[in-house]
Formats: sequence, structure tokens, C-alpha cells
Amino acid sequence: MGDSDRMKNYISDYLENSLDPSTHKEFEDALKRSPELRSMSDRMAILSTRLNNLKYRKCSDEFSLKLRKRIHTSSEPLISRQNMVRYSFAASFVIILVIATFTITNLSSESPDTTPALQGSSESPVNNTNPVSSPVSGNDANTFVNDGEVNINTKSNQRAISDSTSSKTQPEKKKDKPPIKYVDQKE
Amino acid sequence: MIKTQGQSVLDRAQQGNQPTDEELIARFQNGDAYAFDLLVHRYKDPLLNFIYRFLSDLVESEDIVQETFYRVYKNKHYYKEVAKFSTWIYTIAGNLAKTELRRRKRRKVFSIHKETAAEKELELPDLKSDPEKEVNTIVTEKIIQKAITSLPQKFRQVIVLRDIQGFSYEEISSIIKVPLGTVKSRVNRARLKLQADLSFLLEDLESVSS
Repeated sequence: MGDSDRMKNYISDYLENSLDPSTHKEFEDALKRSPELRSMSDRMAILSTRLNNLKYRKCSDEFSLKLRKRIHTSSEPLISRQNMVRYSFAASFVIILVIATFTITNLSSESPDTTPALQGSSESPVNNTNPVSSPVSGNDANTFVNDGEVNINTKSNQRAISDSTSSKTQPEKKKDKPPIKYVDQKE
Repeated sequence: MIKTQGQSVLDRAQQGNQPTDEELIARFQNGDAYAFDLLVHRYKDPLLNFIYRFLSDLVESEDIVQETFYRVYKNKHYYKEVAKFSTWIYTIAGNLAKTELRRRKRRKVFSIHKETAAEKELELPDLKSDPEKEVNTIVTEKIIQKAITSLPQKFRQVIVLRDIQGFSYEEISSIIKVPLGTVKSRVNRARLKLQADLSFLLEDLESVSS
């Protein structure tokens, strides 16, 4: 690399006055010797000034407004996500409530007092006002008296108790279960 | 001695009793939204000028400045006061500008300067002043802008930061993450390249000034 080429590397530093004293002196000597280097140095100074004075651009008036909108919009999905979670919780709660209500209704409809087999039984206030004197299934035996002890459970309750004890061993075969006969109680 | 315009803009903004950038970002990190507005007000125009010299499109440049502030907003807690706020925000903006340039390259858009309607409007000369002078100024600026845009990216970045934005070599070194010596060398080479590209224009300017 020639001396002139080496000195080209120092033009910026020379213009910005950041050369060390010895290199500064060396550069100025080179400037005197080389008109080309002098011309380059002058033009670089003009160029830098021109660059520095380029038109200063400004953002549009709506810049800040647009930015605020953008920030606001970007935070919206987060809010809607939070809402979605809330709505899902609410929806699940409603669904659980509906299922629970349905289950309870089913259970209560299967309760002994409302089973069709027992409709018209001795507990029915309409059909039988005196359950003791009119036992069910055509048997004359008093179902409320067993071995000299009075069983205060109504017939339906007795059946329910009987069902519950038998259902522990055979829970799924309600329909196939033969009807209960009360006639054997005396025997 | 070379003076710079960009630095003076930031300096003016920080004169008096105004809080420093670092104080403002700290306040913003603690939930003060007004501090963010002040930072936007302080940096939007310098950033626009920085990006514009890369992309030569005002509308796109403004979009990138928007994106820069949006990222600052979203990632405010990533800023640690080990670096200057200006270094941090210019790094974000510079990276976004580079990404945009790469995207353009992929799209094979070779047009150096795409003039938009907004830009045309901004560049309309003020007819109350000397129209010829205004037109000359606009033409000169367009030529210079074109020359800047045609520089290799690594040269363009340093010359914009140094000669247009007015950053020190140390700050540029932090922003583009290259050693100080490399920055100085790149600035000098960029100026020489630009000078060669604009020789016809500089000859005219030289004759006018002499």
C-alpha cells in the first residue's frame, strides 16, 4: 500500500481532529505533497456537512395515536382470552348444574313412593284410609304385625328396605326381579 | 470539524431539568405510561430519520418506528441499565430495518427508491421561498439518498449513525456490536465510497463553496 493510500484511511480521523499529534503532522505533510489527497479530504468535509444537513423527516401527526391504538389492539386478544376462560368456567358450571338436576330428578322418580308397582298401595290416602285393615295382594295377613311385633314401616318402606339390601348384591337387575310376596310373613 | 445533526436533536431533548432516557424507561418499567409517551415523543423523529436512510420509504419507515416502540412497550423489562437507552432502541430499530431489507431482497424488489404519495406531499417545495433553490435542494437530497441506499449495508448503517444521527464511535460500536476500530474503518470507507459515487455532485458543491 502506497503512502497516499495509507493516508486515505486517516481522512475521517483528520477531519474529526482525532489523530494523535505525530500522525496529524504526517497527514498534513502528505496533504501538501498530494493534491489528490487534499481534494479527497475537502470533498469528504463537504459531504459530511451535506449529510448532516439532510432534510430532517418527521413522523406523521397521527403517529402517537396509531401507536396507542396498536398497543391497545394487541392487548385485546389477551382480554378476550381471559373472558373466554371465565365464560368456559360459567358454561361448565351451568352444564354440571343441569346434569346434577337431571340426575336428582331421575333418582327421585325411581323412589319407591312413585313406582308404578306400588301405585294404589295401602299408603295411598285415596285408596286406603286404613292400611292395617286392608293388606295388599289379597292376603288377609296383617303385614304390619310380624311375630307379635308391630312393624311401623309402611309396606312401601319395607319394600324399599328390602330392595336396598338386595340391590347391594344384585344392583342392576331390578326389572327381572320377581314381585315380592308378603304372604310368607306369617309362616 | 464535522458536526452532526442527530445528536443535537437528542441533546436538545435532554436539556434542562428533563428526565434522562434511563430515568424515563425506569419509570415506565414501574408502570408510568406517561414516561413511555415522553420516550416516544423524544425518539420518534430521530428513529424515523435513521430508518428512512435505510429504506428510502417514509411510510414503511414510520411503520418500522411504530414496530420499534411497540417492541419497547412489550419488552420493557428486558432493558437493563447497563447500556444507554438510545443504544437499545437504535439496536431494535436497526435490526427491524435489516429484516425489512432482507424481506425486500427475497421479494426481489430492486427499486432503490419507491416514492409514496405521502412522501411526494412532504417534499413539495415551499413556493413562497426561492423555488429554484428548493428544487435543487430536493434533487440533491434525492441523489444523496440514492447513493446512501446503494451502499453496502454495513457501510450504510455506520454512515447513517455517524453522519446523520450523530452518534459517537463508541455508541455505534455498542449499537451494531462490532469493535471500535472496525467502526472507524467502516465510517471512513463508507465516506470514501459515497464520495466516489457522488463525485459529480460534490464537484458542483465544491465549486459553489469555493
